[in-house]
Amino acid sequence: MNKTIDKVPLVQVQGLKTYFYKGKGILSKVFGKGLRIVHAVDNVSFSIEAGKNFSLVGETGCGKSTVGRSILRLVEPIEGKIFFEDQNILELGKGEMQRFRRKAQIVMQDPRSSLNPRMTAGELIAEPLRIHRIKNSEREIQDEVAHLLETVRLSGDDAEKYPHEFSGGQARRIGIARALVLRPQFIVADELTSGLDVSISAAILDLMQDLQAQFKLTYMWISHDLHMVKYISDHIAIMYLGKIVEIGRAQDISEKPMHPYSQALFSAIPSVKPGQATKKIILEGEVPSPIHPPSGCTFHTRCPRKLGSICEAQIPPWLDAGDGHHISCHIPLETLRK
Amino acid sequence: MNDSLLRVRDLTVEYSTHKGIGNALDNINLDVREGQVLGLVGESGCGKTTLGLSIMRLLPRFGRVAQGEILFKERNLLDLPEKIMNKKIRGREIAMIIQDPLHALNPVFTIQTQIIDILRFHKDRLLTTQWKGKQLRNKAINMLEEVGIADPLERLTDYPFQFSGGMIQRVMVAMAFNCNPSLLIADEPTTALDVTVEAQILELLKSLVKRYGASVLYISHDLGVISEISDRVAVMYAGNIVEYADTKLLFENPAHPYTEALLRCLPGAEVRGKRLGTIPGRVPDLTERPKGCKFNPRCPHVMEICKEKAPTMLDIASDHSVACFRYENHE
Repeated sequence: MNKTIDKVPLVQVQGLKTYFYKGKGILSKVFGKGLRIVHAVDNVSFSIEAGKNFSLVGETGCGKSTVGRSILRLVEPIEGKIFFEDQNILELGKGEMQRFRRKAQIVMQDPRSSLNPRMTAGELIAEPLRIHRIKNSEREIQDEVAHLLETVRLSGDDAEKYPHEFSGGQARRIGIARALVLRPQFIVADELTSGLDVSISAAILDLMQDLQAQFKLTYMWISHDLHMVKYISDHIAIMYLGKIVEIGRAQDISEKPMHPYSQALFSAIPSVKPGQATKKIILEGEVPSPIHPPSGCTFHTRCPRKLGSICEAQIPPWLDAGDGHHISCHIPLETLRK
Repeated sequence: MNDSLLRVRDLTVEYSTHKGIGNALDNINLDVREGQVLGLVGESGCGKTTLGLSIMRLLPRFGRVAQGEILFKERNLLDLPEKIMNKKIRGREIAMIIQDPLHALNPVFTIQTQIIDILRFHKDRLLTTQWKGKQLRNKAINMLEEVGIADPLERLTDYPFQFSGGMIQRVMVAMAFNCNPSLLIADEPTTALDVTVEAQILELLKSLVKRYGASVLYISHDLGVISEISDRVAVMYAGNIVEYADTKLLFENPAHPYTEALLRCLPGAEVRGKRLGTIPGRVPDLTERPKGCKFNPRCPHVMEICKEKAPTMLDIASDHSVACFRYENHE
């Protein structure tokens, strides 16, 4: 099953599985009793082209952040391959891994909890330089910090401030500067604009696009904000309960989502054009627990277009709609296209 | 106009902070019409929640109504004794749904206890004075059923933390409609929810509002949600209402530079590849608000007069008014 989208991928993920183990204590770990497995990411494959914007979309708990973290080995996947420029990073040793970290960085979801409150912005941005011993003199480090602060449109004086002195939008900029300081090729942006006012998040999105052009970056966006995803992405993958249900070019998916879940998701976005809102597909119930995901197609418990017992019994096929557009569904492609 | 259920007139609310006193609300005028949904939209700190709290008379201690009237069914809520407010208005004539339901509910009581508490407190409203435990419980079960909670009998004895975000918001909705209120203040009820759950809750709210004939003041920062749920919209900036119009007019024909800028900031498929407009500068601090029009330092159309005088609301069309000097000399 090759889910390659296009030409030269910078990142290629194959059959990624990340499970978490939830037990009551050490005994359950030893004897496997009462052990519960959270199927956070279950057989996910995709690839990201260099210089493009790839978005992982889904609702709370669908595993999108876990995919982002697995790619950078911040959590250890149990199965699968992750190629970064032809190198399977799951096989890298400690030293090689540290070198890989220069190339791939993450901007964390919540800047307030991801920035150490006891370090100034300057120290936070300089920290990766010191760990990787990139600059030699203190002078060089300070120059670099000042330069980066300007790059993310903060002022040089902000180096002396502590995280709590920054507003939400400014704190995200510190996170961006910190990710950028090692001059990576690839950045995972985890919910970068969530919780920000529209005018602030617009400024952050503009900044990210400028940086992309300036530093030739590849972005992987993790978000639940579909307006933003439609705007920024070249490719979109939609996740539900640890699996990708639909993947393809952004315009294909946002104009005509085919998977019943994607359709419900896109129909639910509130539109600012009164009267023009499309008919909403309201899903019944709630997302099932990833500890006991439903059999067959994991969406069958809520699917408004469920076919019957086949959806409960069999894992759906990976349909190919052309141009890298794939859907995981039992409904035949011709019916989905309508 | 007589068809207004709630009329806010010249309302000014002061907050005293360590930096001094500032006006969180500055001369607010608005009407919630009978059976309509008024959307109140603006960015963090613009005073939209403060307005909701002023109506409920639940302002924090450092807040004070400096002037103005809040007329609800022709009675000024600000003059009512606290006892009447508590017994007759709050939670009964006017209900509020707040943003974070887990903070609104007591974590150490089951939801049954909390729902029945309200029913008991306002039982005279519910037509009968002799409600016993079992009847109250049945009423609670009916309400949970009405808001779409599966197995209401079993869920009644659950604690708030045992519910998911969407489900607990449903419980809040049930509690708000407990006493059949004439006005519902919904303060960002769907902000923390995923889109599909948000759609479920909005749908539920719409159907209940229709069934109970309530009027709604819907507070949100999300322009999309506001455009879908409201009949009319008021846009707030730094304690002022800057534009006030029929929903369709506002979104198709924004008049105030701030409204225009906000709408330009929205990402979406139509603006792919283009830069989003950003609003230069930032929202002024409560105590350091500029003279004249509060938006003037960030406004692309700023004129001399904007820095001197505060603009007043002008009618530029029927059901469309805006506080901006650009429209001063029209017609």
